[in-house]
Amino acid sequence: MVILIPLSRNLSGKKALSPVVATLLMVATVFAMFAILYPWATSSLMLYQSSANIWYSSQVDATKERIAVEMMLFNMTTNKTDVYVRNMGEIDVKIVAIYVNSSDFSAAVAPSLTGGYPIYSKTGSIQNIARFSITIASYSSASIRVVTARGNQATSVIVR
Amino acid sequence: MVKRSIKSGKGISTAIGAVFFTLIVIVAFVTIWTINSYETRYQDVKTKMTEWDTQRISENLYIRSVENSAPSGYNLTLTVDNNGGALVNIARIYVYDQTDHTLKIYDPKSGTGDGFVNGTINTGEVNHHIAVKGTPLSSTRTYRIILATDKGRQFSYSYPPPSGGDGGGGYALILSDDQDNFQYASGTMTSFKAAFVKPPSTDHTLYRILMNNTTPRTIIFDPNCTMLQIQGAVGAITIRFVVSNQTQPPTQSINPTPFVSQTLGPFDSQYLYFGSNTVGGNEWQDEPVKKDYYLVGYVLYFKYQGETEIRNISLPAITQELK
Repeated sequence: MVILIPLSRNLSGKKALSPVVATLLMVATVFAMFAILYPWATSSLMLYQSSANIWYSSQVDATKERIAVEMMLFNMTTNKTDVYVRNMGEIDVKIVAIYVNSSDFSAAVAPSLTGGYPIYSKTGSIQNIARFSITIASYSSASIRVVTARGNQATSVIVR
Repeated sequence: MVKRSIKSGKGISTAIGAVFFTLIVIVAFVTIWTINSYETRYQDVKTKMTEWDTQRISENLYIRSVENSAPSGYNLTLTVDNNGGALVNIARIYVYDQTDHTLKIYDPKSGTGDGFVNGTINTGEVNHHIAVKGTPLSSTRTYRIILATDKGRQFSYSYPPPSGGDGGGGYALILSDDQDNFQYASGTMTSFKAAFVKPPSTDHTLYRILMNNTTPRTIIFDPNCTMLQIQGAVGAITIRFVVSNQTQPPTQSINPTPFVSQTLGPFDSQYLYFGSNTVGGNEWQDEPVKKDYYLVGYVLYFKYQGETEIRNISLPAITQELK
């Protein structure tokens, strides 16, 4: 300290040099902190926002979905049960699974449910209905549950 | 002040920091506002679809008759009443031949092919005629005719109608005109009491209704038979499913016996019991807690002995007061 005070006085010669450097340093620090904080804050908030967007969008879509098992018919000669599923909702649906008495019969369904079978929402005169044919060897009564990709379900009971 | 601050070099970093902080706060605020708009949109959709569901539930068609006569160019006439609270659009008509187990499907008519016309039935409209171009019904066969609405409801009719009723989905089973036709037991009660006026919040509540089979055919009830207890002011619905007629009071410490099957002989009367909160379940459904007027409706699923098709009948609503 004893050395520095006269030295700084000697070096500066001008009174305002040190405050300018100090100010510049402070400003630089603030910019540096902002350069770190801003990307972190914005990316976190954007991630939070996009997660919320995805969650609410999926909930909105699932809420708009409505399906019903409209008719079921057992064909005695072919051992096939025809299930007519209607999409009454405001959004296209994909049927991904059909359960018979809680057992997954998706593999025994025609047309194939691999990747989900679409039933489009009603537009104009296009029928928003699909027929699925399930091969079931034998049953006296069956609870048939149709499941969509968004997790909605429709259940109906058929008795032979 | 600002000029002096710039001139002196003091507080510049604070000012810049404040601006940056404000920027971050604004970004956070925009994010919260955006998420809030997602929530609002979700709630709007939920409200809209709830209204749609209410309309769907309030659809109620009564098929008066199906006749083998129709205007020129058509073969069948369905006469229908809309007793519900919403306009009904018929989306499809199924005619199932129960004799040779074949199915005819009729969609709204377009062009010269088979189909039906006049499928929109206004609220309160009676004797509405739907004309169908297709295969005429044979008098030597029996048919099940199902009207499917665009909201996913189905209303069915037997052709020819079972003797003793007109087949229109309301007469094969009727609530007995007897003073003990609608009763309940709960808690430690050892006998049934009339359920038209009863206290709310009763513990382990078992309802029963006395049903008459008006047909000369044996009826087999299905586990999906449902009791709907609808609160008058708000429309909240308490749903009970049928339980075995072996379930008897006192119900305080005994679960209901799961329903397997119940058979009602021709022109016979029997009680149907309701208490479970799931189909075929053995857990009690809770009784509503609010003192209010309730509409109690029953949807009875059944088949005639020797048939495979499950039919359903909705009984006229009973007014119940919980007080």
